[in-house]
Amino acid sequence: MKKISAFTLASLLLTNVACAQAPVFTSLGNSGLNVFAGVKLEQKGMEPETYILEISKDKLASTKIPMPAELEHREVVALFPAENNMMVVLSQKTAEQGDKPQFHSYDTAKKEWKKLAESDCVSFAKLKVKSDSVTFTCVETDKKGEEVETQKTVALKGVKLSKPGDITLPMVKAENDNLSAELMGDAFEWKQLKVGLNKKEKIFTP
Amino acid sequence: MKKTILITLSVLLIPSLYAACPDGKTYPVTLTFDDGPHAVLTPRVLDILKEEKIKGTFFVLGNHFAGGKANPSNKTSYAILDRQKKEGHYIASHTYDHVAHSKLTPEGMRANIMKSNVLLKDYLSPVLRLPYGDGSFRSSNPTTQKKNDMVMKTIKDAGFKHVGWDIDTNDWDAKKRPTLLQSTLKQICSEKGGVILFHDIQKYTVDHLKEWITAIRKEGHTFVGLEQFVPEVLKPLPPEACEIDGKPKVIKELDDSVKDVLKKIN
Repeated sequence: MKKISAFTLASLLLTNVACAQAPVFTSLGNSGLNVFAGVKLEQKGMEPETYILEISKDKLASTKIPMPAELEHREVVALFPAENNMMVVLSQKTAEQGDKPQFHSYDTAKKEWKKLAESDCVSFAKLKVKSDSVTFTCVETDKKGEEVETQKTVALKGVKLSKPGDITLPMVKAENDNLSAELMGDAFEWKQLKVGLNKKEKIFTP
Repeated sequence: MKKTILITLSVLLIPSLYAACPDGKTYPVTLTFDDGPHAVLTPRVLDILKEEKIKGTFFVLGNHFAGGKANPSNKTSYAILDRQKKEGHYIASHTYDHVAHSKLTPEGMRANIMKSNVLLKDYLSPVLRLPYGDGSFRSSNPTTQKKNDMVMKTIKDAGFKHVGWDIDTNDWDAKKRPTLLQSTLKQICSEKGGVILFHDIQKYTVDHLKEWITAIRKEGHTFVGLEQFVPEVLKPLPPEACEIDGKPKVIKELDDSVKDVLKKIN
């Protein structure tokens, strides 16, 4: 009888564990001083919970950056390092289609969030990053049923992005000076983040 | 005797050869399509479903039918609904405008739902899917949860059952396309089958639908109608879905109400 009860308890426990999915990484950014990674925790029937994991170069230690209320259920799609201790976050609600991606800045020193802009490009994979703007290659289906690509630029006032260039999402690797970062695992379900500094390497989990 | 044993062994072993899920099982799934109809793409989806003998569910947006049957430019959209109905598919509401309902007042929500009902009452089942599923999820934030409760109460009061999804293909998202099929098959196993979400306004979806159906079948999963998961879809649309205080709602009033709400949001 005791054995059955223990088995039942173990089964119940396992069922509950199975219902709560493990958090996964969704995006990556590297300022050369810090590595940032977007994290998402999804549970069936629940709004996804998101936050950012910051890994400092000096200690190779991680800190959790909680999202403000307006971003707590939005997926972190991309992270862009900016000057003056800033990080720019591109987020989108990914349940069903149609949500407009939003840009927010995060001041790592003051720990302050600020909404910068919104884009009406819903579907994209390619971004052209300039110091004061991001251009989306927007993928849309028109009324004739043809897929068209259009360029949509969003100006980012008040911040200066520090790593201009062309990006194709998902960005799995990000190198900046001698600090490197790589997401590991199945695409969009990355469960590990490898951060390297010179010859030292450390694995982080969300 | 030997023949019987062989047949029994085959019956027991063959499904497991095709079962791709780690638990060795196969599951029933149903296909749903949001945001249509699209004049060119939805008929192509219907051709594929007919060929594959699959019963789908179309969550249509009311704004594709602005002005109702009196508007000649809606002829194609209504003809698509007639074909969907004739070919045994379910037609359900995705509301009128594709907006986040948790940002609307209860009045604004009712207006956005009711406006579609009036235009599509001859076609709709009493199930509804909110754009983004917004309001149907539970939130750890009490303020968000309070809004979500309001949204779901409004849906129920309007005579509808909300239908979300179990498997999100993210077919609209260009960056996730390379992993779409792999992710969908994985979700079918982890969710033990269920409702699959697609969009019949995406060329990419329509171009690949047949290939995905074949892949899902190859794994041993079966396609069923939505009624297997949501029996309410078989019921008729209740009168309260098109009436307020027992009177049919006039489209003009709803027009103003929705415009008003949308103006506030934007």
